[in-house]
Amino acid sequence: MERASGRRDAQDRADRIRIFRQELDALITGGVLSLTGEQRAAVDAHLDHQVADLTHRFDIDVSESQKQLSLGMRIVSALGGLALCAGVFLLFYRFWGLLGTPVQVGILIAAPLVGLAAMDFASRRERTLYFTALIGLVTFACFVLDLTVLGQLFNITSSPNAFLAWGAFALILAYIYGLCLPLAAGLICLIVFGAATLMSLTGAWWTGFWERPETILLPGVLIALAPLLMPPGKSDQFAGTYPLVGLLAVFAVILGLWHNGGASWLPFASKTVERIYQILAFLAATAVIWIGIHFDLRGTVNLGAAYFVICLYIKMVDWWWDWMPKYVFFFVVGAVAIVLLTAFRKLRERTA
Amino acid sequence: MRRRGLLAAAALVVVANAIALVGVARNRASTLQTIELTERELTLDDQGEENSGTDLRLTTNYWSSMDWFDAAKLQELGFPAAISSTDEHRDWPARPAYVAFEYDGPAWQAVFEKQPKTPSFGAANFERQSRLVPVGASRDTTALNPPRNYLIVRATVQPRVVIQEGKAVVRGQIVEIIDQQIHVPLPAGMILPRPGPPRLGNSQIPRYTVSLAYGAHFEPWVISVTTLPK
Repeated sequence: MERASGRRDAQDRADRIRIFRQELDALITGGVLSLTGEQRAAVDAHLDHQVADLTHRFDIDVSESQKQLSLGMRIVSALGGLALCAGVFLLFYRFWGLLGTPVQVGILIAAPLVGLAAMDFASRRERTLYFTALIGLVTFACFVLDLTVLGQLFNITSSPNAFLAWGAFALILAYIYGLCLPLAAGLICLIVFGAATLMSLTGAWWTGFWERPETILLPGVLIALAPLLMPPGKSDQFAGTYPLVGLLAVFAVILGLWHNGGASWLPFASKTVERIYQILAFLAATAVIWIGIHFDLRGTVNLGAAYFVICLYIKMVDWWWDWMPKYVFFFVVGAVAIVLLTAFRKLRERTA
Repeated sequence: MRRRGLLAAAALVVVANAIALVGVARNRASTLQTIELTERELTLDDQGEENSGTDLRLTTNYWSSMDWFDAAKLQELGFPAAISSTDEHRDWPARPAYVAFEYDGPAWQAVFEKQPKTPSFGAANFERQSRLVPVGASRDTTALNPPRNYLIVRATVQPRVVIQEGKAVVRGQIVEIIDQQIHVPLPAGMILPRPGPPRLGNSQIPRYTVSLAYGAHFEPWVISVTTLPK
């Protein structure tokens, strides 16, 4: 994690140096500042040395094209990891029927442990952690496979506790190496664990939490707010992931109950519940935008704004799609977009 | 930090597996019930070519009327007393319960006699059906107290509104049997035929019998598999 945060700091520094050079050029060209050839050479030499040192230590991106390539490598790493996860599952299921139970159990337990060793090995040999991230995903999949197949082998009654173990494992991997994807997977597991446990407390079978999605709301909100409850500095690295996962869960639940009030615990008629959640959707979006602005969380503001717009468009379809001529409907949608743009611009000016 | 983190992750893997395996040992330490069932009740679960494992699926008879599973029984299982036949479109979350199935007894005979005897629904159909018929449910196994040839399993149950003689009434239904899929380890797994196209319709004879045990946690395991002569 230290290495990951160090790399992020180094990248920030390199970005600042690049911008500083551009501004310096602009100032000199505009005649605001004049430097002698010696002075300019000294500044350039110093900055070159700084960038070279950062590149050597952290393998950072020093140009826009390098940054784009890095993003592509991260995407390839994530997709490759997901494909390898599927491969691990299918490979085991293809051959497990030919193995005795002790061998099966041995392989299942050994697989995630070997994955951890492979992560450690890879992380010592690369600075960018692309391969470590890829192996991390496979290691997490091995642990999921481990507990899932162990349950199948011995016909163990399923329980939400497996999600707690998977969530904790993914979070440990995420924090050791500063990996976002395992963190997101871990948080999803913890949301499922929380929702399923709440469902069990009502006396219902735990898998029924899908049928009563309100059980997802509490763990979703807790995860979204987790960075605010953490000590400063601890949550910086993953500041965007917690609200993203938590709020997506909450927003999905509210949208689900917007359309299916019968799935609510609330003791009201289905239509009444749907109306309550329609109002709640707009209130939630507004609250998220406000929290995002107040705590300077750009991603949270964007997510809240996007959700607000989606809710608004769904509502407009509900109200007008059937009876309004289609061209009028789309003109209205366009007009609303213009009004929203004006409102967001004013909000932007006020917060500047 | 990294070393400690890796050790914590490894410890988590070991502890989670240990908890699961200790649970298995505790379940199998005391056998609560054993029963011998045939292919009619334990069908081969076809998992496709990509899965080489052998699993059986506990199949129960869904033709039975389950008149015993009324509103009072649902209330006993923890559902609200206020469920009425007007709640037709309301889904109540399924609750876990112990359900007793009678095997090849009077309840099965009653099902057999009630079924339509038409050429399109011939004898082959009856001989394919499971003879496990639900006869009771409870939150507590001691309340069921079944005689021999009964099987108690954990299942999830749910209310539903059905129309009986033109009247809407509240009845219970079994949503799913928990641990319905039962893994068959080696070498028993090699004895069983590979899942394929249904053969029972033609031969009308089960191909195997399975001796099944249930332990302290009501988790099943296969004791033995015997193939029947063709």
